Amino acid sequence: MNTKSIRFRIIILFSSILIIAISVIFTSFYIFTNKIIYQEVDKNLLLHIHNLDQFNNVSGMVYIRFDKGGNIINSSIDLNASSIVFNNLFKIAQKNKSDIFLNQNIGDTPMRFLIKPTLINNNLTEVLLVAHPIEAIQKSLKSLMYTLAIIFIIFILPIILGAILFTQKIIKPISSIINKMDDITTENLEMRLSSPKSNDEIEKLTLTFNSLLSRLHQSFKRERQFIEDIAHELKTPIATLKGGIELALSKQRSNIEYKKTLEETLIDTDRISKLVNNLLELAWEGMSGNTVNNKKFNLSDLLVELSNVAVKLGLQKNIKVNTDIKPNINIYGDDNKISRALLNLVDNAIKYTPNNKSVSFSLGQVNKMAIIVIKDEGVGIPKKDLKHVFERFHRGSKTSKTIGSGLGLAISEGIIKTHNGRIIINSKIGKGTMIKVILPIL
Amino acid sequence: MRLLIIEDEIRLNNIIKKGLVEDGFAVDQAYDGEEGQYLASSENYDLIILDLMLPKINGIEICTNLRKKGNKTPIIILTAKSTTEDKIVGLDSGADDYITKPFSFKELKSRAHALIRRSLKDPSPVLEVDGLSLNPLSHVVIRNKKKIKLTPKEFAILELLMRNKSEVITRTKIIEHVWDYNFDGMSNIVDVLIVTLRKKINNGYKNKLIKTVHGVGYTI
Repeated sequence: MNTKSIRFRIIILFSSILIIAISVIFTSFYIFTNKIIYQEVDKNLLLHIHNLDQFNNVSGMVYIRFDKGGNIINSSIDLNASSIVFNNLFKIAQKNKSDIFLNQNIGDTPMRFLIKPTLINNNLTEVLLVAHPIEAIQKSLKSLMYTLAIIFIIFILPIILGAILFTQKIIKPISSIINKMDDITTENLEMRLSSPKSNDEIEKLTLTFNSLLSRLHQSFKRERQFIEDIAHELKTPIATLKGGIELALSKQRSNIEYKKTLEETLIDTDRISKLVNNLLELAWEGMSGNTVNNKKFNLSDLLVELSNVAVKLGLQKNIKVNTDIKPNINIYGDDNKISRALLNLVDNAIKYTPNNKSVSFSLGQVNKMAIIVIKDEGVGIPKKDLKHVFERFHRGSKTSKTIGSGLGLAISEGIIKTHNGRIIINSKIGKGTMIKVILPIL
Repeated sequence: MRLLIIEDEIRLNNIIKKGLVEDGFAVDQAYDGEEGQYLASSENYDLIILDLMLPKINGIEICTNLRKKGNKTPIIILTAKSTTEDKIVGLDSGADDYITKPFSFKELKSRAHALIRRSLKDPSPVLEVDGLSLNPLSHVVIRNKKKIKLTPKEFAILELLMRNKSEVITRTKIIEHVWDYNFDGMSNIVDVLIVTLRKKINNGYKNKLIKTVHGVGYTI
């Protein structure tokens, strides 16, 4: 078994706590019993010493009286056999000069002695020894100890087993989650853990993991879709390029035809390189704002420049450009990127506005926010498309034949977002579209 | 052989058309799903080349709808979608072949011919009638080891007749299969071409091929 696993650690912890607890209980039980029994014996001894006459015929009881020199005055038993023992006890009494209880064998019989010296003016006058046999008590205590020890040993195995079972019960839902998590790969991210409905941490863990999976799944799907979209966007111009070249090479052709083919291939390569550039830009933008080149710049000037560009772009379609730009609004950020983002929006406005209509720009300030509004009188965007316009490669159902990479708005949104701004889009079919860009003025 | 290309990328559509016209096909073009579905169900084509991501009606829907209506024209899906799942969906919707972009033009042509061959239940790549052989892919017509030079339209008429040998082919059918949608009237063009075709293939042989069935059409 893995000694670092939580399972193992819980088993060890659980069983050692139980074993220590039981051994503490048993030991204190033994010590306590021991103490109580001896206290009882000592109480009896004290009682006897005061009423020696009354108790001197209690069976097994011994009493001995010494004078101050250690000579025995009287005794209830024949002392010859153990005189050394008694002399030692007398010496203890001489030394301590107070009541002492102690265990002492006489022959083979364990006895509990009370040594009581009698003092007059701190001088030893006589010593009285009273003793009870405690063989039965000692035997009982011993067997109590053995019993407790055996019970303790018998307990150990069930405790460990219990710990294992208990741990398994705790760990089981975790293990099953681990097993299920193991089965989930990038290929089957739609799989979910079944909630144990236990209203505990495990259920919480399951729910948290499931929501993490959902988010992962979403982002995988988005990435996959993005890659598929890139592939699609690249494959079509490449197919056109390849088809055109193959066709031109399939037989002898006139110079004019070859020239025409080369011109066609140029259109495709331009389209491919534009797409690649946009993709790179989008990828940079996706890298969480670390590329923002922060400096103060004049947004009003930028807007004036852009409106001039718009006038040029609209020239061919005779589109009128109205401007209302409040001067000297400064913001922090990367002016090149902001310019790129706004240019995309302006370009779209011109692109989707029919001939002889108008486009308008305005820049204003509300509560530390710069507000740019770009309005066109174009075809408008259907409601169902409106929420998708900032998605990469989204192109509205009505605009499928207008040339574009489908990345412009996504890039614009990315740039505005890295500058802590927002884009709001409103549109009415047939009436036109209004895009509002809100950027913070710091 | 008459063919329909449904592809929203106008330039790609034109390139495919040009290549196939040079190969002797009569080609119609559709640039969105709606137009494509309309042409495919109202005209009589020998093959349809179909993109999947189309405006208005997508390619899979077109395929499913045509098959539901009992249209048996072979369909080649020509698309940028290249995952296995995409191919399965495409073929399961009733398409006969699946080519991914970017594709090789030669392969597209070969597959187109193979599908037409299969749909006409004639497995051999070279058509033969009484010592006259016609190779649709290489555009070579041979009678008794002698090469015969034909114009694309003559070739197309001969191919149509040989593919349906010993069947009577009406003038209308010839017009439907050899000219594209933009061809207007002038039904005697068929008769004129048949005359020149007969001259070219029968010149110097006793066995005169291509018979006229009066009031109906021609047979070989």
